[in-house]
Amino acid sequence: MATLSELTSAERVDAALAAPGLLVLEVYTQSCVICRRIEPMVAAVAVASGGAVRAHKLDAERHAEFAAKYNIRGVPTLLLFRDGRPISRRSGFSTASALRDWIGTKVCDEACGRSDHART
Amino acid sequence: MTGQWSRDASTPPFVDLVPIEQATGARKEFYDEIERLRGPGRVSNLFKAYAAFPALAKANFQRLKVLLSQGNLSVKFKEALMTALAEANKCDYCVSFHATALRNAGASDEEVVAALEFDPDRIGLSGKEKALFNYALKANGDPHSIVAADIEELRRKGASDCDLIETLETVNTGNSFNLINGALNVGPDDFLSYMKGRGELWRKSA
Repeated sequence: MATLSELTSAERVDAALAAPGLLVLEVYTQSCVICRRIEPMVAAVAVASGGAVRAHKLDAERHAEFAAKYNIRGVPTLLLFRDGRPISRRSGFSTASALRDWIGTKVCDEACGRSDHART
Repeated sequence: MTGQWSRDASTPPFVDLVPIEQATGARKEFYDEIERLRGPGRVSNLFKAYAAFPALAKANFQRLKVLLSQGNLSVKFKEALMTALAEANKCDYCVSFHATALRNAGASDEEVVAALEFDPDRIGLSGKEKALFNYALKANGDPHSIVAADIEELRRKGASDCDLIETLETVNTGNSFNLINGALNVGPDDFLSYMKGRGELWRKSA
């Protein structure tokens, strides 16, 4: 499946963040070509995880408050949340393999108390 | 969902896909060449579209033949990569065509699914081809994101200059066919059945 469901309202954002577990949020803009190219990678990682990782996308221009809160300076930016708490972020294109490594490493780091600061 | 990233299956192709029995002249000559290689009736919709410009159609068919019959890398690798690109580009025609070709190259159903999930570790490729698969996806996603360290890693896996060109040309070929099919609204071939409903799956998930 090559698409991500979009969080179109603040309520849907809140609901996604309130759900337990791992969430990858692709922050994108309509005009961003690389955002379109990374979307199927993110979607595939979520599908192949069998429910362990959820994934959505969010339009930075329609959610300026969210973008400011999470200091989004470019797109695509991927935010990784665990139980609604940001634990990592990355920018630019990534392959699905790189995303799987990223998520696995960050989950492992967090379990060992080595979390980076995803807000900055 | 319709638009830039998916084909509208309810609308006919935007060019005339002349049936085999109605082809004449240079178009017929080209169809005959394809049937000699692929078998009777197996002129794909892509090349029926291309045949509006017969000389270019022949050149592109020749290019595809060289890509799939020469070089160092396995046909399984190249078909897995073109299946993955078709999924990324939402080309339902190309998923059906290349997933079938991937099966014919020896892949299992699970390996086809792995290609559609962009996971070279589950496709049964060599270490070099796994690395080249990810290199190809990265080049396709953002060619300017490739850095010297990416190439050094490929060299450690044994990749040659020819391997890099062969991989990138597989990307170019897959993308160019995806573009032709998308922009001309060309759908999957009638003589294929495997993975034919991919476009409907995308539409439902949008």
